[in-house]
Amino acid sequence: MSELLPYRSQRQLQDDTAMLGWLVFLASWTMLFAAALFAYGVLRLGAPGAWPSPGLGRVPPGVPALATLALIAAAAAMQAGWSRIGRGRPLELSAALILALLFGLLFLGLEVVVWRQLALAVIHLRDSLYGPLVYAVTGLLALHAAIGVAATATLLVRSVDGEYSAARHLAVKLWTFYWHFVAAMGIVVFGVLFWA
Amino acid sequence: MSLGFARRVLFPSDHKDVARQFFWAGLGFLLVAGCFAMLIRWQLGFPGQPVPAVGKLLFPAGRGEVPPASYMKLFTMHGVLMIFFALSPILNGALPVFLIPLMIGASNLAFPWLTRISFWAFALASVLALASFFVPLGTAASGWTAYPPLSSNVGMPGAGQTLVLVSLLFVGLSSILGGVNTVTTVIRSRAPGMGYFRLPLTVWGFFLAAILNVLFFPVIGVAVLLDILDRTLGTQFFAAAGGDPIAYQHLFWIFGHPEVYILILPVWGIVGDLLAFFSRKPAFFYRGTVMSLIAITGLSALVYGHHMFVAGLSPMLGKAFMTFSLLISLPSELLVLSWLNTLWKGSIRLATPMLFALGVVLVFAIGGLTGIYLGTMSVDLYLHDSLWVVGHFHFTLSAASLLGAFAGLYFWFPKMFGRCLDERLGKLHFWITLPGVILVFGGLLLAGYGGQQRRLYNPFALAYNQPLQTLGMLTSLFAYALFMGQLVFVFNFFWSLWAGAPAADNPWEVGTLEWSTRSPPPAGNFASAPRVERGPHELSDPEVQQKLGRDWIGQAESLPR
Repeated sequence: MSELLPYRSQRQLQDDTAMLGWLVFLASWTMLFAAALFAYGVLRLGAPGAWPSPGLGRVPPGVPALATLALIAAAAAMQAGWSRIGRGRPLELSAALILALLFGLLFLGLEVVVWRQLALAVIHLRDSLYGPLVYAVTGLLALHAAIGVAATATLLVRSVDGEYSAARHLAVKLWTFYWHFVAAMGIVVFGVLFWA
Repeated sequence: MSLGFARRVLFPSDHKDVARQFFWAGLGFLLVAGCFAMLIRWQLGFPGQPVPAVGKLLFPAGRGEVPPASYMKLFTMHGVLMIFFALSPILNGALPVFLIPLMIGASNLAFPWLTRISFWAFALASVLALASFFVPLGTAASGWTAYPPLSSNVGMPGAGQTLVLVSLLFVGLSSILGGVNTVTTVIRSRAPGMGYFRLPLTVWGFFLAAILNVLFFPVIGVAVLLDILDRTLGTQFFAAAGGDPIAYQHLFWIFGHPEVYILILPVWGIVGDLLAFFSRKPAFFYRGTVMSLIAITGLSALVYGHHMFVAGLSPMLGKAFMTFSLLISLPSELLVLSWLNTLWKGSIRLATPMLFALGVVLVFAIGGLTGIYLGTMSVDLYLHDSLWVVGHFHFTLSAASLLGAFAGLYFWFPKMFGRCLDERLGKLHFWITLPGVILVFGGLLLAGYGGQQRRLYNPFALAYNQPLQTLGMLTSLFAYALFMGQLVFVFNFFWSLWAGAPAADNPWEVGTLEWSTRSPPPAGNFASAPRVERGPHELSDPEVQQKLGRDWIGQAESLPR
């Protein structure tokens, strides 16, 4: 009476398990960002008067918007690379990883610009809530992007070494989902911190 | 110490070895935090008098009485250690890590390396928490909730509070990684035939608690992280002027309310199974029980505001939180009714694990009913911050969770260590513990109803509390009796470990998979992968009785044609 299931090799089953564990972990980490943004929301709603406090500049949304686009591009490059290696094209995977790496670094560079703007607009950490909150949340996001960049660099070295094939590329798949996660968090962070 | 031994301790590949590490750590902290409770009770029973025997040693400054600052540290670390370092590693570490692979018919957890890291993170947290006692100004004194400004540099200066907060981050990491492992294992590693509705209720409890662990520990991570930034970098997120201390309370209770379910869901699962096993009947309305557990898990995420009725919450928001909070009593009621129906006309065997399971039903009912008063806004305004709150959460968390942990321990000890605990000492332990928890925590409820606030150093310095002094003293005396009763368990535990009778493979005559392998199970757990054919508690089936001549059948056992 057992249903017929398509055959999955032992390795494929293990890969599926790893993928599920990764998704559960990313769900947990989504709550990390959700909690950080919730804290931002509560503190902003509770703050008396204007936001940020009068006399303090707000970071204009231009550079953060570009940074968010860079994150989305990095995630798209990873997606392209993953789909190419699935069809057995390691060279194109390497090219996509280079693109993802560059977009990731671009994002980190733009974050530094944002922090500089913030440093110019906000006098001191102790003087307001807005500055420290934006530092904390963007810092959390940048930390995760930096981890993604480091992982992508490692993937690139391995890809050039010819470690990945159509049948074996679990790490590429996992880190592609990681980048999707970071990009999604980046979009929400942009919306809450710089748009709303 | 050979190299092989060191490797087995530091890099155990078998889930059962990691489980034993969690277990020893949890029992150790249980004893330490229990001793703290005794010192708290001394101050509440005999305020300002020197602590007998150990007073001079612990508090050398005075005549050996508990100083006010130490009293705050004691009640803070009693809570922190009990919740995060004693109950959590036993109910969310040792038991699920040991039992889940055995109960679902797997050879190990899905990610053995993650099991190890989860324990290492817990070990690091333990070291940090213990180190906090030995820094200048001593350990945390903010209460276990660590509300700012109590936990700010103003409320509690010094490195101790910071160390405790950092240790909570690592406890969180340990719980998240352990939870990821548990959730993945239950979804992916079930033996052929082990459908979700053939899982023992214990596994359901662990599974749902793990989901809450995974989703809500990051939230307290953010709260604690921002608090640490306030303490170390001088930000003002939770400062009363410039920031908002209430924001911390929101974050804390978004985590804090699911946390109490993280500690009680495994117990509900264990009790559901044990009541069926020792009534020799299938669990009544198994599916309904599972659905109740799922509903409670979902609702637990929506009720955190009932901890903040007096924190300046909008009354409209308060009403919504009140509604969801009281709604939890519906699935809880279904749970308790299913348990009672399981017992109804059963062939009850009053072995020690069953006694503890029955004890859980009783004290959980008291804990749950006293919670309704606190979930109702109008009554909570009066009872908030009183010992009624302390009594309520000690009935649910301490009494129910602890009795549940003991039930599990007495039940699975033979499987864990291959030896039997002494039944007579176990029953003695139970008959001291059950009246003990009811008298001690009942005393707290009465004092709270009488208007005594929690966390007061000397409540009887206030005239309106003076009529409660005799009650406080009696409660303390009962607490010492309760503590002495626990020494019976400690003795039984170590004595049985060395000299207990060797355990049979299936001493309780039940059918779940862990009892179909050796005691203790070998590495890899099962000689061959089990093929599951039936649910977890198919007891007293007439067909089985006729064909096999016994009232139980293994989950993976075929009935002869």
